[in-house]
Amino acid sequence: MSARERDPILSVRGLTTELRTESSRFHAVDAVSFDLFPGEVLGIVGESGCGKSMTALSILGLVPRPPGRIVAGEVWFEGRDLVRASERELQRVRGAKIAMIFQEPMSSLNPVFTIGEQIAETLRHHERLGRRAARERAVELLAKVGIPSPAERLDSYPHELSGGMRQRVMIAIALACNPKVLLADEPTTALDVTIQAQILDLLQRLQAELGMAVVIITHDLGIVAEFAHRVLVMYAGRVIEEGAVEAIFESPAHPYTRGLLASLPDLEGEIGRLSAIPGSVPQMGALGPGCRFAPRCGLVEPACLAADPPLARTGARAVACRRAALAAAPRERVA
Amino acid sequence: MLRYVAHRLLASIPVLFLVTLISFSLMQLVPGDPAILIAGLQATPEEVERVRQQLGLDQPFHVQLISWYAHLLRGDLGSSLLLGRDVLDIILERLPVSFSIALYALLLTVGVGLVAGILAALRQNSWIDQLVMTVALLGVSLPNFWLALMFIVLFAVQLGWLPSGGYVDFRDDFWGWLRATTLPAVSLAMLQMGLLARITRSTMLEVLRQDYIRTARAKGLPQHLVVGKHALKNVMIPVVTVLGIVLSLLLSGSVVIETIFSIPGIGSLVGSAILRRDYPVIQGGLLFVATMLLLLNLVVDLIYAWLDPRIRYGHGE
Ligand SMILES: Nc1ncnc2c1ncn2[C@@H]1O[C@H](COP(=O)(O)OP(=O)(O)O)[C@@H](O)[C@H]1O
Ligand SMILES: [Mg+2]
Repeated sequence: MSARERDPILSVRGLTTELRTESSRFHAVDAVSFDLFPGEVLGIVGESGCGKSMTALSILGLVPRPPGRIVAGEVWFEGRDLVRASERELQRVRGAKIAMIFQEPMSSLNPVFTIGEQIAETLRHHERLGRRAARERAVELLAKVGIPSPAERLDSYPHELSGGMRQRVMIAIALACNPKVLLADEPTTALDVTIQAQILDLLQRLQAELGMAVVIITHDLGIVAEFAHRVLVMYAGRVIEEGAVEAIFESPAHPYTRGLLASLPDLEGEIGRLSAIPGSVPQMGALGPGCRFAPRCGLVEPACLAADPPLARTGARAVACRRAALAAAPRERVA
Repeated sequence: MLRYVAHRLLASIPVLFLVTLISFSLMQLVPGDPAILIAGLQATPEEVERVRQQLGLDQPFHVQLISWYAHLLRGDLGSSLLLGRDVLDIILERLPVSFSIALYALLLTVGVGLVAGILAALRQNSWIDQLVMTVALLGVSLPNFWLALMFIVLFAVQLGWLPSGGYVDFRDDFWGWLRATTLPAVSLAMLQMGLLARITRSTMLEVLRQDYIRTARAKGLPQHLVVGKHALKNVMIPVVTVLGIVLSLLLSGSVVIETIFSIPGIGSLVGSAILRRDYPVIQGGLLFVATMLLLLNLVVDLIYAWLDPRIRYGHGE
């Protein structure tokens, strides 16, 4: 990507978010670092519970507190560290420069306000538009996200819309102020398969049209393959592999990434072994000193249990695995 | 919408009929005879019998009942057995007294209860939260007559800040009215305030966890809009549903409170009428209070529908 030659628009460095509950205390996001370049689509993949949502919420300072708290790291955006920014400064960034959409379209809109109000409100607040002007812009936005007869829809309440339509409204809200960055947290996961494709197409079209940078969070590598330029693989709160999408799909370096890829349907559309990776995500509160993937890894050796391997970078690729060299062999041979 | 209101009003007629029927029957079952009270304790049985005949109390139950309803249809609530005055006149005369105190208590309930509940939720587990929850618990668990007596002892007898009873018309002297009605209104409101504060707090905590609140924050809205707009309108929905209960607690509490503070309102009127078996006053008072409650509950339901777009009355319900 030519985008990589420019300066990143968003730089996350060592972001660490602690969750503290009665029974446990752990880093849901553990020293996560990455850059997002203007106009780039970055995928973040990983099984459910690995800290993808927490990463996105941490960037915008939206971690629910309690139980969460950012304990370390920096999030650089437009010359400012958002982790250290005041609440007021964050409010000026949220929704205006960095917008976010969520996994749950059914519950993410306020049930007691019309969708017109929920879109126009953002414009009135950030761009100081008057009521009329904000309403007109809301109609345009609804049209842009493909909602039929947008002017009439403005006065609908969320319960009058389907899940797919609500997610379109969420996208309209997010795009209202032409943000530079869109954080899309599993925007299609809760939708029907046909609707999923439509929403993904819409996001792809709008991204190309507006040239904004997008972080697409998903547990679906298919979405990454279709939409993202670069991908970050997360496991148990950490980034364990990073690289251009083609490179990762061509030669996954981390055994976990290889497992994820093996569970994808192959070219003939046949579903691969569903649980390609035995076992499940470890209890985050009870992690040993070693590699977090070790208990499920086929290539584990004693040294893997001694220390958690750091994310080692070579060019545009990075991987956190002592046995990465071995694992990097073409996928067919090991899988 | 209009059809819904008309429908509700029509549906309340059988309810009012039942209320009066039950109260009429209950009074017949309770021992005690107004004729003895009127004729005096020294009266001979013949004198008592004569009084009873004059008042029509010698008639069989169903005759009395039918005659009362016949008068009611002509808008006549009868006259008090003891005062001899028209029941409707007495009620209308006392209405501003009870109404002004009930309104005062309602404003306290909603104002203090709601704000305290919201503050407690926003500062969960802080000292404010602890204080609000403790006072609210006392409010819902201590009986209002006991609270009223304690308030009188403390603020009227010991400190002498406020009068221990009596009433001043607000049209004559507003400050006098405020001084006279503050202790009654606070005693009357404590239970509902506590109830509302607790419900508001738990609802607010629940609402603040919702995804749409996260959306509101992600839009960059400031805290006062997130809480005061997006959360509050959702919090109001369950709060308004308990408002019906709050109102009926308010009206039933006023019987005791008006009596304790010797306030000439409808509550004390019905209270003393029950003690003296003044049947027409009891019947008229209860009918009036029941009508008020039904109307107020209709208003509450309309507010509820306005708050929650998922509920719309009138479209086939
Ligand atoms: N509100 C919360 N309270 C306690 N634990 C939470 C909360 N939200 C998320 N977690 C935990 O934090 C970890 C990361 O969660 P999340 O970022 O939502 O994962 P993902 O989005 O990748 O599925 C998980 O172990 C999850 O159980
Ligand atoms: Mg998630």
